[in-house]
Amino acid sequence: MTKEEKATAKLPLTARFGRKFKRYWMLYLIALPALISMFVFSYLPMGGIILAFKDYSPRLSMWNSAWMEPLLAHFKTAFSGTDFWQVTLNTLRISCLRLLFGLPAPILLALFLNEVRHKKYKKLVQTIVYLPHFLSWVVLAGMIRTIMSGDGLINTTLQGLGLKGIPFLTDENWFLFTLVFTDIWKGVGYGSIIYMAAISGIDQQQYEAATIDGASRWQKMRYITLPGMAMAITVNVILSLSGILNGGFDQIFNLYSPVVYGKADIIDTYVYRMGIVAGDYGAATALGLVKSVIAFILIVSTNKIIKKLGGEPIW
Amino acid sequence: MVRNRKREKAAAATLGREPFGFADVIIYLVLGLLVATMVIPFMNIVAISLSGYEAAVNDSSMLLPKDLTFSAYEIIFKPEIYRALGVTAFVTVANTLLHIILCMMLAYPLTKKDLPGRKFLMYFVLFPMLFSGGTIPFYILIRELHLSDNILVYILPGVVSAYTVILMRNFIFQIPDGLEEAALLDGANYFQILVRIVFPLSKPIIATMALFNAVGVWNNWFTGVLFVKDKNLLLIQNVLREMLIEGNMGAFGQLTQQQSYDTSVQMAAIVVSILPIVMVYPFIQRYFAKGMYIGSVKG
Repeated sequence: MTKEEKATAKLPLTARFGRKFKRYWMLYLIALPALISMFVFSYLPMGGIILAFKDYSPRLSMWNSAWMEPLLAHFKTAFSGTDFWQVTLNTLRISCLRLLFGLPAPILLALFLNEVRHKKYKKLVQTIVYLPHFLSWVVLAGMIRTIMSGDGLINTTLQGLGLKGIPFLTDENWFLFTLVFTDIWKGVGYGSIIYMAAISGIDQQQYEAATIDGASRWQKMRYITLPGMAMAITVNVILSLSGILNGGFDQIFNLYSPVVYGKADIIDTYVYRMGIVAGDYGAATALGLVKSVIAFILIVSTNKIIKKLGGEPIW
Repeated sequence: MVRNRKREKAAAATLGREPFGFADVIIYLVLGLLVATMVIPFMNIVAISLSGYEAAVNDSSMLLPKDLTFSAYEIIFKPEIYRALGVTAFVTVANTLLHIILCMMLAYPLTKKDLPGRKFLMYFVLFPMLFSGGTIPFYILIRELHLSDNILVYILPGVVSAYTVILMRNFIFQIPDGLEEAALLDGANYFQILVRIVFPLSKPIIATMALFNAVGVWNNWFTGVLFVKDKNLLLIQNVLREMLIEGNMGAFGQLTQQQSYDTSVQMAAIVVSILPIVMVYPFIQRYFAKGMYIGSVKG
């Protein structure tokens, strides 16, 4: 503490604040535009949650519309009926499949890339596998719909080999495969970066010592590299778990069609169709609200767990 | 950096002692296969876009063009797509500029450890990352703010992101205090310090976040789906979506029935929309990788 700070510390709280405010007012002013933007586009929609309790009329606006009678009527509409349970089940199923197959893929890729000795080959592979991450799901869905369709590249090749064609986009179960596979395809390269970062943090002396002790390549991979990635893996597992209610709106919305709704319709696509397409704003908001609350609880507990495990918490 | 390079050299030396064995062959092959799954689809769509109608209908599995023709591109390059590309380019630049300026202006005050209310401001910035009102309230709000069918709908909502603010703040923390103190003694105010010292010294993080944001805007399609009916305001992704996913070629003016089912035309549209990203990608790849590192390793 400097002398000046000591002197300030003795003053009463309001005076202290006053002094600091005099010194810092310009900083508040600098922060203000961004704060206003966040308030309008992030916090006002949170206030819009009242839609779940209101009988919305566009003429009267969100705030002036009448309250529902009974207040929780929209929730009753949203959660009754089989559709709700169906889409929840679909969401969980898709998320679990993604977790099961999508999570190990970038880990394996990072392990493999780490073993590549020719720098140029490594660089080439990295450059190419990162690329799909930067393309939108609209573009990729357009490509997938062409390549994986009945007379597209994949099925033509399969038939050329004397095999049966596969209905990737029109059969419910194959559609799940398509979702998981194309998601891995898009994200595996980019997802490996975080593991490559973890690997680069491993002390090289460990490898040298292991080599001297006669450890094989496989043993080094298993007992040095993999444990070195353990924290990154844990964090990713927990983060994926906290997003378990998402299921991947962008991908599904651009790839699905009514024939696969039975297994491909997730909470987010259902809310979209119920709210934006059918105009049932109240019930859609109610459903979205419940999802947001659960997601919030999941992510807060996630952060607590990461902190407990000694990792770098998200906030 | 130097130490890293030394380490890598040491690692290469240790690895080099082992001969290039069976395991290496497998690893190189698996990676090669993965690369093939990325390259072949792109070859396929480029080949289809450059092939004649008959060839594309009879067999769309080619990897090289058959009956080479640019007619699909001639169909694509109509005023409609120029306008969509123009609107998208404008929106990308405008949103990214605003994003960088506003986020820096918020990140800088958050680095002042004894700023009264700093903790509250931090929570204010972080909370929207954890909780949102959901799609419908956002949809209704934007409509009530009269932003639908307005170009500002692409620029204003979500222009400040907590993620960017936090990464910028972590970066600014690393700037030595001495510079700022000297400037304060010389009578500079905080705004001048921000503009003359903090901004120039934050170039690396600004470049990285600007690129990420620009790609995000270029790839944005949901805003248009939700809020824009006016054909003159559609972004390139919305035009693509209409033709690829909704099978509606209206966005391209007068196309004949045959053309609208012409896969070549659809693939040509895909090629045109990803070309800007593919072209700048090799030059900015290291920034992307760096951005991910920053995000994962944290300050």
